Amino acid sequence: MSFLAPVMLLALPLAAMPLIIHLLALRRYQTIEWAAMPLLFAAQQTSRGYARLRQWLILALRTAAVAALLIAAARPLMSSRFGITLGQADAAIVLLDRSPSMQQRTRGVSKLAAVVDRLAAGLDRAAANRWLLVESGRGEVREIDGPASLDNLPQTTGLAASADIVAMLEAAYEYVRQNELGQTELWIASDFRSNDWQPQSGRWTTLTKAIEAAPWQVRVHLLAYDAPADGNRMIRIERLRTESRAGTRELSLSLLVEEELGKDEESGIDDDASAAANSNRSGNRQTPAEESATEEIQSAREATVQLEIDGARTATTVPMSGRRGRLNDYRIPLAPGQERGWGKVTLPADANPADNHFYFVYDEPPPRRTAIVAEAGSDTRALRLAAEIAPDAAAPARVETYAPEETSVLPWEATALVIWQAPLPTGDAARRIAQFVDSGGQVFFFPPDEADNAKLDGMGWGAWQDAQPPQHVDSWQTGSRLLGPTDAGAALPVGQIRVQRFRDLLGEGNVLARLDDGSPLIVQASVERGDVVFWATTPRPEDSNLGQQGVALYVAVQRAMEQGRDALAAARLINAGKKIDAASTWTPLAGTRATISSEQSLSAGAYASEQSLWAVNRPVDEDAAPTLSRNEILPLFGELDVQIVDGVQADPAGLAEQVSRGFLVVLALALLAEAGLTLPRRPAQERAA
Amino acid sequence: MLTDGKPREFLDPQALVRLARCPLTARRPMQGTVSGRHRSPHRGASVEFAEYRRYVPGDDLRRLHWRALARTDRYYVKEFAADTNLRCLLVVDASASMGFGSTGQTKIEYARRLVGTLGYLAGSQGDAVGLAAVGEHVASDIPPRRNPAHLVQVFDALESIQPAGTTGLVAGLHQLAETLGQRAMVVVASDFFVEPELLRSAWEHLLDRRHDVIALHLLDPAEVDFSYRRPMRFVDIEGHDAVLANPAEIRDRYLVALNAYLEAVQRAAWETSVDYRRVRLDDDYEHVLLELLASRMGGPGRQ
Repeated sequence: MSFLAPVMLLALPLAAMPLIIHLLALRRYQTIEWAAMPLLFAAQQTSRGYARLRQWLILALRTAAVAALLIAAARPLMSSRFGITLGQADAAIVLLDRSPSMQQRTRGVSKLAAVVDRLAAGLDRAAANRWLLVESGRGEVREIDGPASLDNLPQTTGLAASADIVAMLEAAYEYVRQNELGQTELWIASDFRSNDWQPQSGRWTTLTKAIEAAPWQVRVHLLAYDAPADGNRMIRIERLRTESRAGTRELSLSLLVEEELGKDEESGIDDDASAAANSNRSGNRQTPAEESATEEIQSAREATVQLEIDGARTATTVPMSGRRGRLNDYRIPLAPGQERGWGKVTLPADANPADNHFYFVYDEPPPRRTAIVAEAGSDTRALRLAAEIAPDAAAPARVETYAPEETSVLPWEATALVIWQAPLPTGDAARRIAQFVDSGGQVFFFPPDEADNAKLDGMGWGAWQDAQPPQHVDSWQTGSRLLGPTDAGAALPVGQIRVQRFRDLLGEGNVLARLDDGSPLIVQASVERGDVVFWATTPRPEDSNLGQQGVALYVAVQRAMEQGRDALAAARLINAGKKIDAASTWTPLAGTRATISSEQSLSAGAYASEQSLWAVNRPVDEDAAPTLSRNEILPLFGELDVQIVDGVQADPAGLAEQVSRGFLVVLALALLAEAGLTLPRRPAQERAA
Repeated sequence: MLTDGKPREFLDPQALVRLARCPLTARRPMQGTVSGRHRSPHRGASVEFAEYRRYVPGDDLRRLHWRALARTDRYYVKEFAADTNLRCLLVVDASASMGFGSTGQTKIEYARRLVGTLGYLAGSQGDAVGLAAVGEHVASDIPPRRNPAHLVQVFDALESIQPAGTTGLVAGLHQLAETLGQRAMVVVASDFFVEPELLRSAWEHLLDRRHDVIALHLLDPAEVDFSYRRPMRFVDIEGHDAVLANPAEIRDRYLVALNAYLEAVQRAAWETSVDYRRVRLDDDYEHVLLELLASRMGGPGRQ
């Protein structure tokens, strides 16, 4: 056992005070010489044993009460439940949630800092043979010197990345299993956000069953820091693009400011202030108090946002409607010659500083680069023309042709659109396509001549069909991005497309256009980011008039390319937590000063690599994740022994309170027992002598 | 009557005058040396006819009842009660416990009053008076004599008794039973804090010797009521034992023990025909003696 205030133990000799007082009190008893001693002995004889025992019991209880009080005042520390160490554990593993929500502050102390302080001060090094840490950044198990070393570890500071609690538990379990550890104490410090805990994941059941079946005993201690924030706003950039207008480059930002539901449902506006605002609107002259209340309402209905670009700052306001406020297409002119840089938007300090800023980077507009992948000898002229002719002369397009086996040299990260007219990619080519699409790239597939049994995203090629007579497009989705009307409202001449040969499309997708016989002509595959579009025919004259008619194909290609360029630009705004091996070599431009290089892809900020600028921000799930209740958390652990410990911020020795309470309970019981023993007996009715 | 003229603190002349109206009589026939007011155990020539009995060879023929012979043709002789004087031995418990008192006077002081007054009354009616002070052993043993100067000696000894030591009353009474000789009235003034059965044996010993035993059981009101409130440290007056007790807690058990003890003593007295008187120190001693004397004024068989 260790103590937070060991100096109080110096007063332990005071526990002998009851005995000393008893001895002194003896001297104060009235002494009388007594003749009828035999009668007194007879009276004492029947209770002599009890009286002596009672006297010693009273002394012992008083001594125990004083000792318990002094020990409780010394704030003893023990790491096990109820302050009782049931033997030394083989291992104690601390799982630390470092996600942005854990940086919510109360009285100036973040939940994460309070957790670290509490664990460092409240856990006894001797409670386990070895101490391990799994923090949500890397999710790996590392050995530490003891709980006290948590204070000094850089891996205990806040991150912008979400936590994956079940993955952290899996890592801990795997470590215990491989190292054949025995009794293990798991300390999980978290604020129970659903995006971190993923309660619907089937991994919970698999993991808890595995732990339950394990031969070693596992006890789980949940440090619950699930108190909601009191007054928190968060900011996010929803869209960012660079545009040229009248020879001036501008940044166009679309912002979202959102308020988190806290202790009060509203944003703190009381009825008096609201009444004052009504009074103002009615035109009556306001008193100073009413004016102040009106200002409060107005400031509460607006969010002040500070914008910083390459060190230059400006401010603006975002009108709030309910809990949200949006600022769309806020334009910031860039200085001439300022081709690339970084910036951030910031809210005033509130309950959680981790969501008060959002970083962005801007760069030269990505080139209008298209890669055409086709077998040698394939006729791709129409496709090349559709991609080469740029609508903006100031932004020329670039088209490069590759063979299907040359995908390894294709500059994926600089390509906006890939047009694939070859058998569907497999192996590494398919993987590259998938990564390209996942980063927002656009892919058009045109049918190859040869047979192709490959599948991609569930889609594949069927047999060639000859359409005699040629078929036209019978219906198409005018609301789709590819085939929708122009900005001026003119419909694309999709109905003028004539098809002589087409290939059956296998698989499920979003049919954008159908032929007369109902066969799909253009199908969009289901992907999360980017776009994959299958064209059932080619622009070759023998197959269709796509090349001759030109308009629909050209517009579709240009629109896809534009989408791909936006994705290229947005590809540098990444969610914290995305694995980027080169992140450790980035040069930080802005962000948390204490970030260690290996965690740069996990920490919000702006960074520069050799070729690009990067902005790392918290994932969108962090802003919207509800907090799970304890009744929702406990079932995730199945039959495991779980104890929930309430988080008490700014109280580093909260864990020790349980132990102190034990001694205070001893004190109370001792005093109660002593009171019971010292209660005077009601004298019996006097008997006649 | 006292030849030294020395005032005795334990003698109240006015009380003596009042009490002198009641003679001190023995319940058993006494064997004195002179004629007195006490019945003699011997049947002899005297004025008071006692009874007839059958003639046995050796009786004085002058006492033959001739009329009864004439009428019944059987031989009877007349018995006459012979009055004689009393031998009174005052036995005072001189153990340390007799030094206790909460009413302003100690038990020894009260005992002096009682036995001193009785001794004076006995002496004034011509009876022999003696004194034995029994502490750890018989400290002083003055045999009963009729000499007025002897009474002074008795009173001097009575006055000089200082309670000390443990109680040796039982052994002392046994010793006195053996050494007392002729029948006597033995007045024992004590707090009798001894085993009732041992006391019973001592009384029986005395009664076997045909003594008339009066037991004056002296008790202090504090010992009887035990009405202390605050915790006390009771130190044995006859030793060094000390007991810490809260009287409020043990009073009921003390009273139970006290009553059991008193009942046992009373039963022992009853069963041994000892004239037992329980006296509280706050009782008027004159009233106590008056009751004692009055109760003894009855005829034979009255106890």
